Amino acid sequence: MSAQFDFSTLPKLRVPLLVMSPRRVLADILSRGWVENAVPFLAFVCVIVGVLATTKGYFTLDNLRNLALYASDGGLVVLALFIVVAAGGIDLSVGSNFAMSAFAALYCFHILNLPVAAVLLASLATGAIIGLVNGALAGLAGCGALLTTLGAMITVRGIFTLASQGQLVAISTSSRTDEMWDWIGSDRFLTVPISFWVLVIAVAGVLVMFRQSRFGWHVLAAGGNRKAARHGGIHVKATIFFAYVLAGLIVGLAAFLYAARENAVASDTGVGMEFFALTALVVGLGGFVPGRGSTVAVMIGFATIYILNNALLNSGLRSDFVQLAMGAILIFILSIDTKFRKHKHRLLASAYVDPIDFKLGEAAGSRGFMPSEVAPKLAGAEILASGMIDGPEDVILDADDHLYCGTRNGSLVRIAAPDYTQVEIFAQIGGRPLGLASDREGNILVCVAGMGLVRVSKEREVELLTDQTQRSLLTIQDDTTIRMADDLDVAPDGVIYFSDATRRYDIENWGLDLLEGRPNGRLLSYDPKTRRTRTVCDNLVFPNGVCLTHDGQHLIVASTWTCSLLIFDLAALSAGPRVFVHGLPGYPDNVNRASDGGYWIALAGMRNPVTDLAMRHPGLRRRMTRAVAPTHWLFGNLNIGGVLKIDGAGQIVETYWDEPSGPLYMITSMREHKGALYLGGVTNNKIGRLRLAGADPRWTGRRSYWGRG
Amino acid sequence: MLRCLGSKLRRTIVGLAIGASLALATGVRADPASSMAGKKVIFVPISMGITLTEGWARRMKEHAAAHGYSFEIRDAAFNTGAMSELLAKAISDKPDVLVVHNPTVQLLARQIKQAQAQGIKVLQINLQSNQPSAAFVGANWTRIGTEIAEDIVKKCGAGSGKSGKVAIIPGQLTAADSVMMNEAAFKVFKEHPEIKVVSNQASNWEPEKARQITVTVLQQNPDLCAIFGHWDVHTIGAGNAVKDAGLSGKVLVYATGGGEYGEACKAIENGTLSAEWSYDADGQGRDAGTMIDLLLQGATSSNGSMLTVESPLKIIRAGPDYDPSLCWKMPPKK
Repeated sequence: MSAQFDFSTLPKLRVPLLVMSPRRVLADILSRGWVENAVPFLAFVCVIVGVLATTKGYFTLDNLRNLALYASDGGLVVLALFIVVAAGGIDLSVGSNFAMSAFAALYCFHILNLPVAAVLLASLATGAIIGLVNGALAGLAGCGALLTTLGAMITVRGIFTLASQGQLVAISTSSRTDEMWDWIGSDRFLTVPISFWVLVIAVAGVLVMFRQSRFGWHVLAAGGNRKAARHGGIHVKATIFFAYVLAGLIVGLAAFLYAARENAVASDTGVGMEFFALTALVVGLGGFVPGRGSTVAVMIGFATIYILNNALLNSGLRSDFVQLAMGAILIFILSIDTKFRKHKHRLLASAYVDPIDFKLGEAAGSRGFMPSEVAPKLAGAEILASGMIDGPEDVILDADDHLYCGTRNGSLVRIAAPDYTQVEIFAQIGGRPLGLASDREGNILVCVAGMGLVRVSKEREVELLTDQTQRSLLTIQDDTTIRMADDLDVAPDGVIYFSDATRRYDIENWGLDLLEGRPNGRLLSYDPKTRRTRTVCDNLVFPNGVCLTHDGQHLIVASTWTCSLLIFDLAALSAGPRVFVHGLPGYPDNVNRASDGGYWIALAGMRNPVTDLAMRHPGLRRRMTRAVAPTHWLFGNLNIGGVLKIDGAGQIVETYWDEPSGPLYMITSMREHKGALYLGGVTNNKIGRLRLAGADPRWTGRRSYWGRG
Repeated sequence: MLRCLGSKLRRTIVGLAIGASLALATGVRADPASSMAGKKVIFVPISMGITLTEGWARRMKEHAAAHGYSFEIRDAAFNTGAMSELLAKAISDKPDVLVVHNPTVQLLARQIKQAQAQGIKVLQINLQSNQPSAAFVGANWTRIGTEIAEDIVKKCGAGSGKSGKVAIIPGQLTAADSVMMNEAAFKVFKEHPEIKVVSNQASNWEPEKARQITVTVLQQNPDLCAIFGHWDVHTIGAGNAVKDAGLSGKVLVYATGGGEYGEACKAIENGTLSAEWSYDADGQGRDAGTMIDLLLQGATSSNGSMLTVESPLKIIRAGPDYDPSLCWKMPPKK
């Protein structure tokens, strides 16, 4: 048994509670989905502020109620058009449909003297029938949406004029009143007009439809890419058909509310409504965009247009001027929005990488062990499965000595003992499998970048254990999803501890995380008994290898960019980590137990003075990432592989270097198994095996952890 | 849309000039001692930019300036939907008197009732609603309808040797003028079965629409005898269609209107209209102004019914009886 560390005397590491900078805030905001709606929202705020500044008493309770009362039918029509546009169509007939349905309602109410419920049904049915015709022609028969609905617009307007000519006067002079009818038309519930409640419910319905329902998703898919949707097995034609029917139904509802409120239709009812609705839609969505389901944005666009129009009309300006001003303001809003959308990605790209001044302590404890001072022992390693695997970041062996590793194409492969020449896919997982561990039952646990924590049973069943943790407070970016699960280990009580190396970059861009130098990673735990995932420690600098100490009471976590190993006390995780080893000569990757009570550390790359210096100059690194091709970046030396061995107290006792010419290069993991060391590398296409002189030939990781196998 | 905006732009510049000149024109000194001073009047017309409403507004503004009450216009620009919205906001602004120009008899009825209930006196101008209110200033539509119908019977009916075919072109079928004039006219025509109404289609108050309607009617009925247009502005469109068909003088074109010279008398002079029953918008403007003054001073009828001022009629006819002095002139814009 080698020397032991004393946890209580190790230096504490101060982990920041919050990592925040202006550039990061900007980048995080820009990468949020809702930023798409920033300009429509700002336009809305500007309109409100503008109206507030230029009018007196516009936003009184009374007038807000007026707005709510009169906005509701227009809002519903916008919603109807929105559904059709989301499905990749367009409906120019909404105005005519609106007039026709309103007429149907009034005819049923004033001429046929039907009860209000029947009036509602008649109105809805009229709207739905027109939607049905549109849907049948534009959706099922595949006639163009523009032509079909233009035809419907003219035809329905004609029918409306014909039908209403003979009845309008009778409707206008009818004296029928009905409590229910008046209640819907002009009463309030909880101080808000009834019709506005209807609008609120309809908006909520459409919101849920687009977010949660199968039909809503199908509509968006059909609108976004018709061909892809069809290939995905969606009944595109039927989906579009029902979108039109639903839109017609909503227009019918709007018309019913209008009829109840106005008690009249005129020959100009609904004229120009389609353009009003289209304008609201375009302002809300920032263009004519099929396949987007941002209900809230569309409603914001509608509110902007509606209030702008209403305030301008009320200002007593000439109507011509109102239209001119509306047009000018809309073009202004849209041009800003278009520019913003166009340049958003570039702005995000230039703001995303946000380096800090990162001071790395002097290398320590490695004197006498450096490549120039000892022989390159790894040059003598045997090469296994050369060219048959791609990117074994980690390697592990089972009770029968079979060797497992993950590969770049998302599979877990098994290389059969004893000669290790047969490679077979053990399980296809997906993502990028990285760190491996074995639990008490002999299942293989895999950290998969882009997925999370996965368990592969001995029967080769793949089960995703977790891909989310709790969201940290005070962050703009939603960080619940585990982005780059890197390495793991299992505590005696079965709890799995694993690292999420960085929340800000995907596996292909891990290098940018070094250049940033910020604590973007975290240590997570998963308890198979409760199936709960917790964030054990947030804001660590690239936490990588995870290894349980021999006593089973502490957890070693490699912090790659700080060239140090941290250590946690499992009994007091919330107390935070202490520094176990610091000043390593390279960037530590995976850490594993050694048979003599020490630990193996894979070095993914070597520090060099130039990189260490560059880490002190954030501006330099920022300019570099923007102006220089990635192949020319200043970076640690990843071309030479190395493995360190430390004793139980953290002192380097042995080093294993590769030759500059290989064969193993960047080494990211190693496992000791029955007197040999198996070496994996994330960019390698082979596994190295090095016989260890003097190591216990019966010692295996499984036996060390679980006492058997 | 852009093309549309271009023409809107031109119209707007003209419109702004008109607005500015109107503001300059009302330079009468207010009487500070007036009990009406500081009160608030809002006018919600179907649309500004037509001689009828501009003529009324001119006179009402004069009264407002003279007595020191405020006078605001909320222009619905021929949009009935916008109109009830505008009225809702106007009611929220709690004026002392609300002047309403009803596009249909039904549309604003509920709101007029609501305004009256809130103590706002509503003056309905020229086009009334189903809902009575404090006052009405305007034409007697039943009388005009009857008189024109009788004139048509005389010119087209039995013994005239004409076909007896009549086309009616209302502005909006449900507007008060059309409702009442049609009712009165059909009553007259009922007694004269030789009169056949071949069309009764609303023009939406648009000359172009009236022209299209007339073209169709003339194609189907080349022997049409008379057109009864409910408002001169759109009926001029119908008159043009008659002219284009080479039927000037053969088809009589009747209209009613505000009797502004540039509109009514010009049309009669150039043969577009045959006759106009004018309710004299200028006089109506003065009547309305006077009525507002009275309402602001607390005038009510003794039995709570509507105070009513019926506009005197002037019948302007083409031919030897033509008298241009029956028209009034809108003062040129300064």
